[in-house]
Amino acid sequence: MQSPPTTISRVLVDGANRVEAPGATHGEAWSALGAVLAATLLIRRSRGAHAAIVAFAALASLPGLSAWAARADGPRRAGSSAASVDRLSSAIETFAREHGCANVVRSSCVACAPVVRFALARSARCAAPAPIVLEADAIEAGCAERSGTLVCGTPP
Amino acid sequence: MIALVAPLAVTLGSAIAGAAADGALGLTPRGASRAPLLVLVTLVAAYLASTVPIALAILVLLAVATRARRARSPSLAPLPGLGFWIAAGALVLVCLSRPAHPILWDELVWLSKARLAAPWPSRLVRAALDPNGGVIPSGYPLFYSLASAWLGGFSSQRSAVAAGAAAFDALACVAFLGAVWDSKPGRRLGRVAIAVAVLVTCPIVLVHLRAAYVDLPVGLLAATLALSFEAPRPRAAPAVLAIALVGLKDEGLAHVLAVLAVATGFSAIRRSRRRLTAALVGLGCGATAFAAWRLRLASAGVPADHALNYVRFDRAAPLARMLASHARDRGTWGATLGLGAGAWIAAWARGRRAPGPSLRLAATLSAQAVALGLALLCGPDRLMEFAANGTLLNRLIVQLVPMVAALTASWI
Repeated sequence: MQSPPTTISRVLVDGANRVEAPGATHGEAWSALGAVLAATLLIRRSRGAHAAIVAFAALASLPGLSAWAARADGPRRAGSSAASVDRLSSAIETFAREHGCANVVRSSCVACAPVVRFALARSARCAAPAPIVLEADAIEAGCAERSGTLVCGTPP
Repeated sequence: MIALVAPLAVTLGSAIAGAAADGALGLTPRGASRAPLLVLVTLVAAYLASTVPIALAILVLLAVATRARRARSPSLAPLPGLGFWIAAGALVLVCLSRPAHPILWDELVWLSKARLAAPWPSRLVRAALDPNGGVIPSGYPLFYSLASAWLGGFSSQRSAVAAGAAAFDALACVAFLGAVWDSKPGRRLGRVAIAVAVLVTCPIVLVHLRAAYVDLPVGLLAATLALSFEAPRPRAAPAVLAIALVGLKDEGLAHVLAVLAVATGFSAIRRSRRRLTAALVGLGCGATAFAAWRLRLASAGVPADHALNYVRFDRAAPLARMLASHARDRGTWGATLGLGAGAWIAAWARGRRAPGPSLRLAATLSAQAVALGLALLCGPDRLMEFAANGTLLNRLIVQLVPMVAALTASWI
């Protein structure tokens, strides 16, 4: 099991599919216990059934909630993560606008694909698009224009 | 934190326009879910006008033609008080606390379409109907992207479309909690509190509440659709919700068919002509909106992303294994799925002695799961790739979590 996705690149690619709390993949015991608890309390219409169910749900959610809080899109770090993505997106959009249009000619950054789509959503098409190169750390490292090419990230 | 002025202004304007349409046509039932439904009426009408105007024209003519037979129904529910707004406000705050810029894969894709749609939708609709337009996924319905653009203040700014998406998610949350409030008399605040508790103790739901992903809004509106049949006169609420659902995502149709099939069956058993009519009208409106968009795609030569195939039973075993593997991830789900299973078992065990809408909601949850399962068995081969790399099944389960919350809350 991996640790919570604390880097923006990992969150960007896979963050919406799972929370990735360490050691929480074997939760069948909690699920089974929750099912028995809820079924028993609700069928018997026990007093305080819902308080017990909510308390159990809160207890079971603790690993996930703490993993979520540590993620790059969690409450504490979402602002800086969003700023990194926005910096890349803004650089690409500005570069495309200044050159008429732009196109990625080489990319080692898997997580950058949707950012490029988002940045170039309103960009015009043209016959000779200005080149963009995306290195693996493009989101974290930022971009610079070098001889007519926008290079994002640290070249190898 | 996102900028709130534009979403608030557009939401208020949409509510006023929705109230005007409601005054003329009598579309929504009274109750706590009425205000968000009025906003949804405007958004749905604008969506149909932008994408399939002929469908909007037919539906307005139908509404006008049946207007004479309608009278304002008495309110089932008292207006929600401070407690409701505190509970709903908690969920809304989570939605609005999202990052100012999209940072997850699919939200960048959804919102890139929203940027194309601002300020006017014609550019996005033209691109979506162009086989070389570069809009992905090909043929997908456009309601979420259009609504995000509109609620973001008709701006293509990167942060504005994110704010619009957050406003839509917040709207879906309030509609859902309003429907939970309206669903039966007595202990309304307790039910709303339980529904909120079930949602926020599911960690992946917190991720989706702060993201522009469509799965949670689909689940929230599908549960709202199911709960709308607890009103004595659902009026046109099911129709509005059905059109919204088929416009949000292709899976929306599966939810509409499942929810309305169960609503039709229970309305027939309860001998409730008004509910039965509302269910059939909802089914017709949802099917019309879906078919009209698919016809436009076909006439433009754009392939639909989710073209249905014949049933592939050989997929059932691997899908069940993957589902079991995902569902036991406590970090992602907490105990939500287990508790939902318990509430589902309890509803069937007590049968007609189960309180209020519990049995109907349990039946609806079953139908939704079956419909999504069938969609997986009939879908294109790529679905199995998505399921294997973990980007499909969890999202489908997220679509069912609001119904689990409604079912658990219905026992109060």
